Amino acid sequence: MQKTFDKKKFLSQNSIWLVLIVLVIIMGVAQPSFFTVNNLLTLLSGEAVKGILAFGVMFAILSKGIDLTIGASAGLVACITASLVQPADYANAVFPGLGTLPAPLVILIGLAIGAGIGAIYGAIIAYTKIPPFIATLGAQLICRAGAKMYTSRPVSNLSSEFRFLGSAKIGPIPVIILVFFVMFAISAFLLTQTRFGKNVYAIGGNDQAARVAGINVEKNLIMVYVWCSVCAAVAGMLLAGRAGSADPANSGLNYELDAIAAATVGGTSHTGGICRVSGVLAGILILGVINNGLVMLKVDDNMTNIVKGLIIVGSVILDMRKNAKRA
Amino acid sequence: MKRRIFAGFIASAMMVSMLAGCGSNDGGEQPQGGESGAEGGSGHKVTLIMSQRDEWLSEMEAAAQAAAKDIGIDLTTQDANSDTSKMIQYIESSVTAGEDAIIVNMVDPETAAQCVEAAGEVPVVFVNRFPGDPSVLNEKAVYVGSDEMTSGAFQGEYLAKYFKDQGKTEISYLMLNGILGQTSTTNRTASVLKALEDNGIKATEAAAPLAANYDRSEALDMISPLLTTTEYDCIISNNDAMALGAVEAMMQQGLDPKSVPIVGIDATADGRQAIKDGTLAMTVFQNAEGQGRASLQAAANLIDGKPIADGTGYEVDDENEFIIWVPFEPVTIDNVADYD
Repeated sequence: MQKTFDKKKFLSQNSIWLVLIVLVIIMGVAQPSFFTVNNLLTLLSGEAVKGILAFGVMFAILSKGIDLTIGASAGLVACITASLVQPADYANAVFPGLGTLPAPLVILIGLAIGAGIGAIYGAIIAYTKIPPFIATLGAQLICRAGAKMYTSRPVSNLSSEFRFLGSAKIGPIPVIILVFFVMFAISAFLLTQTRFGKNVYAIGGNDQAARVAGINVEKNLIMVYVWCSVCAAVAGMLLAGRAGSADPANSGLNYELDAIAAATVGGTSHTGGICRVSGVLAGILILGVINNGLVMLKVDDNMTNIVKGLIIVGSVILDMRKNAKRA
Repeated sequence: MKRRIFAGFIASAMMVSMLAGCGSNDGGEQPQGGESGAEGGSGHKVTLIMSQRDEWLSEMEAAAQAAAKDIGIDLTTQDANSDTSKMIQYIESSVTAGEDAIIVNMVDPETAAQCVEAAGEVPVVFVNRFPGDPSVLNEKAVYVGSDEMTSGAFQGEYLAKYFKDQGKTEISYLMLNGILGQTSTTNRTASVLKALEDNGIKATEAAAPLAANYDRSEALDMISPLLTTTEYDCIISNNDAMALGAVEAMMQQGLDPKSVPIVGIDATADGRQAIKDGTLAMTVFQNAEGQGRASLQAAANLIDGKPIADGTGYEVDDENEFIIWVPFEPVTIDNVADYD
């Protein structure tokens, strides 16, 4: 077994990056200001929240599941954490007089709520064996309603300490982009370097075989949805920090679909067991380039969505053919 | 086996908690209605059907609930979640439940006729969203709200004056639309452009129409790439939330939001604060409390057979006696303090 560089294999595995490069070149030629550093930073800041959701949901898809809850749970966590960092003298605060809690504490609370939500529906999926689509659809409705019950109006006027991760800059680099890449690194590490990651691949490939091989399928499935939900919590807190406000009705609304689209375009197979974290990163960037570039090219919103729809469907068709050949 | 038991346990725990949730809800609402009836009020039963519950509409709903308590009406509210068929269902079930009047905040104004039909003999008050076909209005179906075509007009008049003072008659603008295809979006956008034109300003759009779904962070993401790459003289938004997203986007790009006039609609708490800070140039106050209270009073008047505007503090339309107008008001730094 010698390890040689297989050009064909490399190209087929990274074809998604080629698509990205071609897209970037087209956009850059059509609109030269697309190629500025400033615009690159704008693009990345704009996609960071949905990208982090994609890093979560790719684990669910890899395990042959799906997570439709993440947009709503991000919204719920955004509202709860935002309500804890409003100034005490702000008359429209959710808890007038509570005052601003320290941001690290609030972030921990947010992560804990995220993990808790994920553990609940993860356990329901793992032990009742109901389809993840249904379990997470139910959880989505509950989380969205929970956010609206928690507060009927947007939660704003948030402490700058809490908004640091979402809106501050270190030098020219927005912190939100750094958080995005940290989450990317953690996802890549979990997926490729840990037993958990290998187990998820195995479960997605064939859960019976995984069970026979001694993998605790239930425990790993719960962990998958805990991770999804923790990513959603991070995304929710960034969302609130970035906009300076969390809106119970709109924050994170339908974001799960963009995240699933990014993971799918990035080559995560809905038949389970196939996922490359670098591909998902490319998928996020492709959708980002479309969102950002088409706005700059003055293409109207409906057309942008048509292009996105075509790219999502097209990429899955290509992917299925590729995977069929491999098998 | 063990797993089965555990699964069963989870399922039953979920069910119990759900039932408990419903139970406590009913328990919370029922006595309230009974109480207000017992307080010597009219004891009429009215249902309010909301198109959805965003910040502004929630404020209107709260005002209607407060008014119900004052007048002594047993008010139930339902949320149609932007779904027209759900809205019609709620109307039908309110009729079956024997409600004395129904207040409808329509999802789609073109469905006014279906609403009236579904309500049958029960009087209907349309609130906030004006029927697409005003001929449905009569002594059993009335409208309470503001004229959406005037909200954008206030924005347009403000901007026209602003640019005329600078000696400019040709401007370009960035437009943040709410939800494309929705009546309020269409009317707000159309009316601001019409007002600019009527006041002698030639306005051209600097980019494609942006549709940010009335949401702050979506507006932020959408407008960010345009701020340093296009030429624009002002930013027009269909609501305050998106206008504030534009303000946030400018600040994050190191631009001064005061350098161009940004105009919104709604005069929300955050919007008014931004007016005080000077980051938002103007907004338009749509009276949530006025619409909520007046719609309930109109419903009570319909049931009691009184003139519909009795006790609302507002006037009926000059030409159509079945319309109560609750006026829009422009808000700038000069009068923002009046709205706190």
